[in-house]
Amino acid sequence: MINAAANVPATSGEFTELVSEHLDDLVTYAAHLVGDAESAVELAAGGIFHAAKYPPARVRVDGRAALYRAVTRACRTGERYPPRPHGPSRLWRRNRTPFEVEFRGGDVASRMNTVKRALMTLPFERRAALLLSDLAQLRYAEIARALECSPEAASRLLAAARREFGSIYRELVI
Amino acid sequence: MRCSLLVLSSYLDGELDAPRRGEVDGHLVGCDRCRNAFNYLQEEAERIGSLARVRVPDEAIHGFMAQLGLIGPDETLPSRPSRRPAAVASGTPPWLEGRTTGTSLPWAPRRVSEAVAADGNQPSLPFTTDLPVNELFRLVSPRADPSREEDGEAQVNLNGRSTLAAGVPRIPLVVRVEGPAPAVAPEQGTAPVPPPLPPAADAAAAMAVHQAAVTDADDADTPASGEDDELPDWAAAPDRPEPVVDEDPEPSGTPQTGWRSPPPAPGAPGQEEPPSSAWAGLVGRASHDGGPFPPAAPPPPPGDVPWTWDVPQSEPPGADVPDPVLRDGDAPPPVSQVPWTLSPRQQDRQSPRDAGGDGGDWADPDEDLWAWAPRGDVVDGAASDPDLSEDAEPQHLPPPPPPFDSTQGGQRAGRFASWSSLGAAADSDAVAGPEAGAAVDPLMARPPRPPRLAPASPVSWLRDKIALRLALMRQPRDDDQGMVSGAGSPGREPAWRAAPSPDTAPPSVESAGPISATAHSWNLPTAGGERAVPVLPHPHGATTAEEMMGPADGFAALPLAEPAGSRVHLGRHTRSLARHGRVGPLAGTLPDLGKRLAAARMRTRRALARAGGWWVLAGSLAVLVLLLAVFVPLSSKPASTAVTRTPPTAPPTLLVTPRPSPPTPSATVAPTATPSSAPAGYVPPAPLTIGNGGAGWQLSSLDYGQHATYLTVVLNLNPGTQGGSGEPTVVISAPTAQTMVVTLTGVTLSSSSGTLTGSGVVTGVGVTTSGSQTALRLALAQSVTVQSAGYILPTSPGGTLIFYLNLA
Repeated sequence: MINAAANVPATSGEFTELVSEHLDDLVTYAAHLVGDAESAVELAAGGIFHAAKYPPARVRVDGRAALYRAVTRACRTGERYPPRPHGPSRLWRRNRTPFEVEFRGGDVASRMNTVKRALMTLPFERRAALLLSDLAQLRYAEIARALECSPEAASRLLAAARREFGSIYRELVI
Repeated sequence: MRCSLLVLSSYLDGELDAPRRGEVDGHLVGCDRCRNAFNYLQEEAERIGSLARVRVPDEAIHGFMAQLGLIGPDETLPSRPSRRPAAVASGTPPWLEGRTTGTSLPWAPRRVSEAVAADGNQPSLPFTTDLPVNELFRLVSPRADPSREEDGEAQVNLNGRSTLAAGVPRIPLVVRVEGPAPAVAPEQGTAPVPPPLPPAADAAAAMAVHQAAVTDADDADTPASGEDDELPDWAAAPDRPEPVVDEDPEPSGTPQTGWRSPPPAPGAPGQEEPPSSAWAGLVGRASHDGGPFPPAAPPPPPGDVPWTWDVPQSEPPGADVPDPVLRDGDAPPPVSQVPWTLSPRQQDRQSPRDAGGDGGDWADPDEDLWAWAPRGDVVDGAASDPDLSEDAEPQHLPPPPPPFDSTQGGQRAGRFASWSSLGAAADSDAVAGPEAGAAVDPLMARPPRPPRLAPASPVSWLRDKIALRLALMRQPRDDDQGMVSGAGSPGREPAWRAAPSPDTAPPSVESAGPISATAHSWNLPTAGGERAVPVLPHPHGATTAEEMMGPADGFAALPLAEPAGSRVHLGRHTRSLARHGRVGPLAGTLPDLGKRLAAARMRTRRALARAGGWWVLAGSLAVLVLLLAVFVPLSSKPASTAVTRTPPTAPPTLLVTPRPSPPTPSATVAPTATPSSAPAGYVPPAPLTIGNGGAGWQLSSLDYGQHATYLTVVLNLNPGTQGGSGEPTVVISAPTAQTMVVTLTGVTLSSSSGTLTGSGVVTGVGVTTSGSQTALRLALAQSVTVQSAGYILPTSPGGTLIFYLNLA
């Protein structure tokens, strides 16, 4: 049976509301994923921009996972908004207007401590899994969508990330 | 059930189904290992969950959306939905009420870059030091909240780790109100005054009520609390109002709980005089660093509002740090109400801050709280974390917490005994400064390690030997203090360097051995010409090192024999080494050459033995000889025989030296006649003989052939009547320097004889015949050399045999 309601395209209002609701968490997630709050805003904006172009069919159901997936991909690939010029042409091309968004807590989020140092030693996928689970409070199904894997793989990834994080953290603390 | 980290992780995240979860619950009761692992996992999840949050203000979201193109510039942004249910228990502290994740906490540290605005919704900070430890550091796992999808977590980070789940019945923080009703600072006039707290029983009763509240809030499925490994599931009753017990009739100074607890007035009965050294420093720092801060509140009248906490409103939630800021004029809390009593050492440590100092004399080991512990074992986040250490922001944290008492409250005592206590300060986002690491329980720190002896190794042995040798070679200073002369000290030069005249040569030779050579090679002179460690001149002569550190500083320049008048004296060790070829220009070459030859011989023998022995060698030699036998004769034979011109059998090197007065040639000179008028200085060369004794030829004609550098004389021989055979014998002699006689045996004149005209060098030819011999006497104008002579055989039988003679 085809759920016709699921194929209703999302309205921009719903998506905007969803972004507005999770913007803080998305920026926080990106900040701890890349370790820099200034870049995190641009990366989160890049992910949101991409997710806005390809919104999920069920914004209220899959919207959060889609947003985290887009932000994760943006952090992995360095996709920023506004996009930074690449190649030699960046030497003479005029950059676009910088993305100016006021945000707070960036200095604290960017300040390194033992937890973040241990986090930064993890691979990207494991770090993302840890942050999605413990910081963004996503469930395994959502983590799987965000990391583009199966829920079982997400659970294994998370368990391995916790094991590695614990060992590294204890080493750093001691 | 098997112990599995994957299962525990899923259990922690609440991803297991009910039967599986119950199985894990039962397993955790009996398995210490899994219980500890679960505790670790939970603590790590809490650490990550307590990371700082970034908040985009509401007024900036519109710009964010507009730049992304999600909304138009004139389009209004829908209201930001609240992520936290607003229904909160009445007794819940206001900062735990339904606020979004990014809501700043009342005790968040102030930042210069962020304007601090007064928020009327934020009350004063509770008297934190009145809280029992188990209340301060109570950890509530957000995972215990089944309604986690509501995203309604709020975080209380007293030490950067504590987290309260959403909708959790808040901890009834008991307040003992002894003074007047607490008030807020004037700049926070809009802040509502917290509701009056009902009187309560003593601390024990308060704790009992609190435990009852916790128990009531527990989920039915949750195992009985009291175990250290289980957290109460407070999320089962998110909206349950909490009982508040806030009265302590006995002014005994028992630790109280409460979200606001003004200290009693100074001098109140039953209260000790507050040590100004412990808290006035905080006040002083707050006033000194209060540049960007709003003006401090005017000092309240005594007994009215003793002190209050500053409440920054716009602080990001990430700075979820209990960073209280005291205002000027605020009275410090009594020491008796501080859960942990400041030791005199700690109080003294606060003293420099009272005087406005830069905070602390940590360098003094006597004042170091951790002096008893090894430096490496002090888990100090501020010391190990440069980011924390570099934070110059004053951290107004209470003194280090005491050891966690498992008997009091005791829900998290067992967990605090784990790594969480050690990393309590390091994983905090905003806890910084030297006090950050002081949150570690000293009793939890590891005991000092006993000193261990490093295992001996050849390198260490050699290093010790060298150090010993260096120490022995050092020269004491003139003041006889036993001090070693340094680079700038006037130490005496070595004997080989300091002695300016041959008179000061060392008497005899004594060596310090090769070890000193190594040591001296490291003790090269500095740029200033001084050595780091001057060499002590040996009383019996130079050492090997001194010899080697001579003008050339090397083995190659070391003379093997002492030259006469030289100031370089070889030590006995060096002489012994030189005798054995160990030092000197050719050191090691001859023994190495012998070894190489021996090794090559052995390798050859082994190869031969492997390849079949001497037979192989014999076969190789045979092949070599065969090759030589084949190629050597071929290379010695003439290249071609197609030309009938026979090469000369002997090199015609007949040299005729000139004579001062050449005689006139005579045409009638016997070819064999011995010249009688041979000069005294002329030595005739040996006659040149060509031919193989042929006969029957007749000399028919004589020709000249003038070439560029030589003259060819051609004798045409025709066969006689009996026919010519072979090559007649020709004897060429030079009786004088300018006379050449060519005698042909077996050749007769064909027609006549006479004198031929000369041509160039040959001025005249006289021919005589006698029997079967014919003699030609060549008169030369100068001395000549016979370049070549020979026969050109006839091409056909009966042809002309040509004898040629080239004269240069």
